[in-house]
Amino acid sequence: MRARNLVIAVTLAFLGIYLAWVFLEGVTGQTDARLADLALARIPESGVSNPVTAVLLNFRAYDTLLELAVLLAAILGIWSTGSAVPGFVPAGPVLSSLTASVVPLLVLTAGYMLWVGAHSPGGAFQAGALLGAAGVIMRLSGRPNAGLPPLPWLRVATVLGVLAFTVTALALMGAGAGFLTFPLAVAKWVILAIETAATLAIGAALAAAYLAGEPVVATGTTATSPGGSER
Amino acid sequence: MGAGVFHTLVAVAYRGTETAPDPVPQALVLTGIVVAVSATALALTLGQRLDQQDD
Repeated sequence: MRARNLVIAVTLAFLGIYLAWVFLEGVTGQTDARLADLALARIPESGVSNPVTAVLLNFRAYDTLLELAVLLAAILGIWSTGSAVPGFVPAGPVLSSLTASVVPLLVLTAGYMLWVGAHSPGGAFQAGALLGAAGVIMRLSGRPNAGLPPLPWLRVATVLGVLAFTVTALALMGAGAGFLTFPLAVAKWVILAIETAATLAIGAALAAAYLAGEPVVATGTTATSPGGSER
Repeated sequence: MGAGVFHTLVAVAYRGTETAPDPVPQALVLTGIVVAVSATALALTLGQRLDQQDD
């Protein structure tokens, strides 16, 4: 046991030293041979003015597409383990009234984040995280499905990010631009459309992941569509 | 450990006060965070199922 602890300690110490060296090298090392200059120089071609959004949605779009696919795969894995665990008891009046004011605020802020991501810090992932947080709060305040739509719609929402990304990329390829190559004339709107779909998908996926299982179709509500519980 | 790597990458993006930070590591970290959260969520769910089976 002592030997194992020693091995772990030494490994972690080496990792720490290595990370410190990488950091030192990154900050004080050669500063001109960096991808940053290449990326910053080509931002006018990306359709957005926020460098991080430009890299994320345009220069490294493949990466972002696969990232959404990973998120989708994780949700599918979680859903395949069974139904969601039963919800908590309904919250007291303080948390309920707080939820009533915080959740709309979160949705509003998510919309703002999404729009502002084109030219300043923000974007689909930040907006999606806020939507996910809204879902977590609703779940904590006693709503068994975290305010998510019925299952058929939830499925559409979680797939939406990958779907919109792929369909846009294939459509642009059909138009002769190449897979995931955005012509400057439409780049801003293509990126905004993909980001909107990604925001909904990320928000739905994060809130659904918090349920730890496939959402149980609520009984006794008129909102459930027929056949919603079949798999 | 994951958080440490993310923090190091973000710190590496710093390029002095005159220029904007390097957007490439920042985008990498943003991608990494989402992947890490997905994997953690899946792992936690699997752990919870195992715990339920033990009962």
